[in-house]
Amino acid sequence: MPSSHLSALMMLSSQLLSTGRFNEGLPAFITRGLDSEQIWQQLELRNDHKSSLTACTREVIRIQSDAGKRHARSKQKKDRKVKKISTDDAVDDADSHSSDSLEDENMINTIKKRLDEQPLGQNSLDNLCGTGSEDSEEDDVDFDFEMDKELSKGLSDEDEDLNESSLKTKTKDKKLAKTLPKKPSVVDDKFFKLAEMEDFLDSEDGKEEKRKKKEEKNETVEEESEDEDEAADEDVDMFNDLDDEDDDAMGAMYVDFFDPPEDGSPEQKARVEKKKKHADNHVDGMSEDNEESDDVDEESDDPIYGDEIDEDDEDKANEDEDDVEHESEGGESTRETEADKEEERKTSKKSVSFEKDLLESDEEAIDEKVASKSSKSSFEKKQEQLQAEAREMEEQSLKEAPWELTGETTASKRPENSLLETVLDFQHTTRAAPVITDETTKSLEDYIKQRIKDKAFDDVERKEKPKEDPFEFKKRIVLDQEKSKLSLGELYEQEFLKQQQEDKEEVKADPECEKIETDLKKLFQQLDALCNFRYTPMKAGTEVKILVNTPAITMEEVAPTATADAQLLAPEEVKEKIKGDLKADDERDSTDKKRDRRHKKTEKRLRNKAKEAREKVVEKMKPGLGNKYSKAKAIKQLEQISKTDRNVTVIKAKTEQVVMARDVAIDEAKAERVVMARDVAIDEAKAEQVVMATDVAIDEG
Amino acid sequence: METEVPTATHAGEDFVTTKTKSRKRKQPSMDTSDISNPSEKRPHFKPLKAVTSSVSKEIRRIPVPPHRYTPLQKDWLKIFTPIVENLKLNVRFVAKKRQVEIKAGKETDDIGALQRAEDFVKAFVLGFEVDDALALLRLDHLYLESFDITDVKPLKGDHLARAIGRLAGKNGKTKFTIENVTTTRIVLADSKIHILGSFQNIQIARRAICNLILGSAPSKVYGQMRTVAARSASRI
Repeated sequence: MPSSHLSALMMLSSQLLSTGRFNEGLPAFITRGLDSEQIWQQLELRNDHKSSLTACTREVIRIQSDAGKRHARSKQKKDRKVKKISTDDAVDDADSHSSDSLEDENMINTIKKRLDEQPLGQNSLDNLCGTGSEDSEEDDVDFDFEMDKELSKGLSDEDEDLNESSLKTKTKDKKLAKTLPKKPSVVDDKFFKLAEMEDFLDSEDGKEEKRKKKEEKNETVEEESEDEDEAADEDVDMFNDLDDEDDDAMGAMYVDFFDPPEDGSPEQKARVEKKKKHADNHVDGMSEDNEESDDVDEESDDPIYGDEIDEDDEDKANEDEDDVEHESEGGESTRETEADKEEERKTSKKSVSFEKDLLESDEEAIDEKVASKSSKSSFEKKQEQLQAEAREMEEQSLKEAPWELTGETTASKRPENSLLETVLDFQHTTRAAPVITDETTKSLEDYIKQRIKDKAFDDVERKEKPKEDPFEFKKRIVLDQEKSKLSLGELYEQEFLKQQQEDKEEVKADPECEKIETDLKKLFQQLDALCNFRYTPMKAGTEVKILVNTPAITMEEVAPTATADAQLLAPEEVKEKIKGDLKADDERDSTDKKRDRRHKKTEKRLRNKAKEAREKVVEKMKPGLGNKYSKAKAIKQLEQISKTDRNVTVIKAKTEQVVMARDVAIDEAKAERVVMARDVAIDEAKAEQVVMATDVAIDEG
Repeated sequence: METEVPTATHAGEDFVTTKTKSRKRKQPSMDTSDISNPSEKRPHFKPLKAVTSSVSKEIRRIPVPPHRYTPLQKDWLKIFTPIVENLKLNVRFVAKKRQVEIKAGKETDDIGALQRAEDFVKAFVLGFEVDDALALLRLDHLYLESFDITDVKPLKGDHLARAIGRLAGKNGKTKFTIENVTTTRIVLADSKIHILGSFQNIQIARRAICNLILGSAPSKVYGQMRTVAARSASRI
C-alpha cells in the first residue's frame, strides 16, 4: 500500500511538474488505477487549498467539457496574483501529504528546487496534456507574457475566489508584466496599448472559432454547460456570501482587474521600480520584520481610509505574512487568526513610522494604496481629492511667488526675456500702425480704379486772381434806368418772336447752309490738327461804348427840371484808384521809392519799345529820310552832338531872331522864303539856301 | 347676326358659353355695333357753347376813381376797341355811376373773354398804361399783384414818405430799373403798390421793392438787379 501510495503521489507530482501547474488542482481527475482512498485524497487536494464548492464544481465541469475560458483577462489577472501563493501552497500541500516519508520529502524538495530553477520554456510539455481545456487555456494564454503563460497554466479559474491577492504578488505580477516589452505605437495611451488590443482580439477570435466548433458537436451538453458556465463565469460569485475577504461584488475596482496606467513619467517609473523592489523583496523572502514594517508603513501612511479598506489591507497583509511565516502550517485558512491580526494591526497603526522619506511624494504611496484598496465610497473619493488639492495649494502658498505676482519688478528681478514669453496687457496710447494685408491693397486698388473710371481726380486747379480793371468795371452790365419805350406787351411779343425764330432756325434745313456748315467743320478740324488741338480762344475784345463825360442831367432830361452836379462817369472810371495810402514824395520809404523807380522804368521801357516798333514800321514803308520821323530824329541827333562837340553847330531855320538879324541884309525874297520855310515844313534844300544866304550876309556884313 | 351668335338663351344645344362673373357694378351692356339710335343707348351731348345762358346774363362793373377819369376819357378808344373787336364783348361807360360795364353778347365765343376784359379795364383803372394793360388781354400768363407798403413794414408819416421816395428813386430811375430788369410794370399809388407781369418776375420785383421798403440802399438793390439781369441774359 505505501508503495502504491508513493507511486501515486509520484505520478501526481510528476504530472504537476510536467504541466507546470502549481495548483493543488490536478490537470485531470484520475480515477484509473487508484484506490478509493487515493481518489478521496485527490479530492482533498483539490478542496483543501481554500477552494470553495463552486470552484470544485467548475473544475468538474471543465474536466467534462472543454468549455474554455470565456473571460480570460480578469481571471488571468487574478491568477497572476495567486500564482506565487499557489506555488507555495502547492508545495505545502505536497509537503503536507508527503510528511510521512523522508523520501517523499526529499522528492518534494527536489521538486521544489526544480520549480525554482526551472525556466520558462515548457511549451513542449503542454502537448502531453491532451485535454481540450488546456488547449483553450493555451489559446487564452497566447497573448500573455511568457512567464505568465507557465504560471497561468498551473492556475485554475476557481482561484479568483481566493483572496490571495496580496500586494506583493500583485507587485510581482506587475513587475513581471512590465518587464516584458511591448511594441509601442502612436496610439498608445495611459490606458490603451495597441499591441495588447491586438493580442486580445486574436485570442477572442480563436475562442470564437473553438466555441463554434464545440457548438456544432455538443449542442445539448453545451446548453447545460453554457448556463452553468455563465453562472460560473460571472465575476460575482453568489456562493461567496460568507467570504468577507473577497469583496469582488462590493469593491470591484479597476485596479483589481487592470494594472495602473503607464504614464511613461519618471514618477511612474519610480513607482514601478519601487514595486519591483517590493516584489523582489517578497520573492526573495524578506525578514518578517521588514515585511511587517513595510506593511505598517504602508498602512500608517493612510490613516484616512475607511475601516473596511484597512481591514482588507490587513487581511492581505495577514495573508502575506501567514504565507510567509506559517509555511510549516497546513493550508488551513488564516481566517481564524484574522481577528487577532486585525487587533494587532489596529494597535500597530498608531505607531507612525518616519522611516519613509517625508519629501517623498505622497502620490506614490497614495497611488499604491489606491491601487490596493478596492472599496471606497464616493464621498471618500471626493475627500481624497479635496485633500490633495488642499495639499497642493498649501505647497504653492509656501513656495515663492512667481515674478508676475510680486508687484513692481525690474529687469534684474525677473528672468531674462520673460516679458517676451508672458502675455502682457497694457494700454496702447498711440494709434496702431495699419496692418497692410493683401485685402487692404486690393481694396485700395479697386478704389483707385473706380476713381479713374469716374474720372474723379483730385487735381489742383489753377486759381486766377480776378483782375479789377476799370475796363472790367465798365464792361459790366449797365442797367437801363430810363423808362422803357416799349410797352409790356411789346416786350413780351419780342421775346416770343425771338423764341419762335430760334425754333425756326433750328428746324431750318437749308442745303446750302448745311453744306457751308460741313465745310466749315472740316476746315476747323484741320486747323485744330495743325495746332495739335490746343486751341486757346482769343481774348474777348472790349466793347466800346462811348460815354461822354457830360453832366448826367443833360443826357437824361431835355428840359432840366433840376440841376445836378452828378456826372455819368464814376470817379473810378475817371481816374484809377490808388492802392494803399497817399504819400508825399518826402514821406516815402525805400521800398516805395524803389517801387516808384521800377514803375517808372517799366513805363519808359514800354514806351521806348512802342516807339521803336512804330519807327520800324515807318522805316519799312519809307526808308531813308523820306519821312518826317527820321528827319526829326536826325535833327535831334545833330543837336545832341552839337552840345558835346564843338565842331558841330546846328543852325535852326525856325528861329525868328536869326531871321530878324538878317532882315537888313537879306533880300526880301529871301526873307519871304525864310518865312515860308518857317511856316511850312522845313525842306532841307531851302534850309541850306538860308544857311548859305546868311553866310553871304555875314561875309558881306 | 343674332342667329349666328349663340346667346345665353339658346344655350344647351351646341355651345355653352361661360359667363365670367364681373365684380364691377353691372352697367347696361353697350352694343357698339349699332349706332343708329343714339337716344336709346348713350346720351349724346352737343358741343358746348362759348357763352352759356348764365354767363350771357352777367354784367361786370368796374368803378373808375376820379383821378383816372380823364385818362380813361383820353384812351377810351384804345380801351374798348380790342375788347369789342377781339373779344367780342359789349362795353359801355356809365358816366353817372362812373363805372365801366362789360357784358357778353351773342358773338362772344370764349367764356374767359369776359374775365379778361374785366382784368384789363381794372388794370387800367389802377394806373397802368393802356399798352401795358393790353398785354393782359393778349397774354394769359400775366398776373397782377397789389399790396400795401404798410403790409411790409408799419411806417408812418415821414418814414412812409421817405419809403415811397426810395421806391421811386430820382426821376423814378429805381422803379424803371426794376421794371426794365424784370420786365414788369409797377404802379406806385401813395402807399399801394401794383405789379403787373409774369409770376416769376412779379416775385423778383416784389422782393426788390420789399427790400427797398425795409430800408436797404438803392445801390444795393441795383447790385441785386444787376445779378438778375446777368442771369436772365445768360439764359437767353
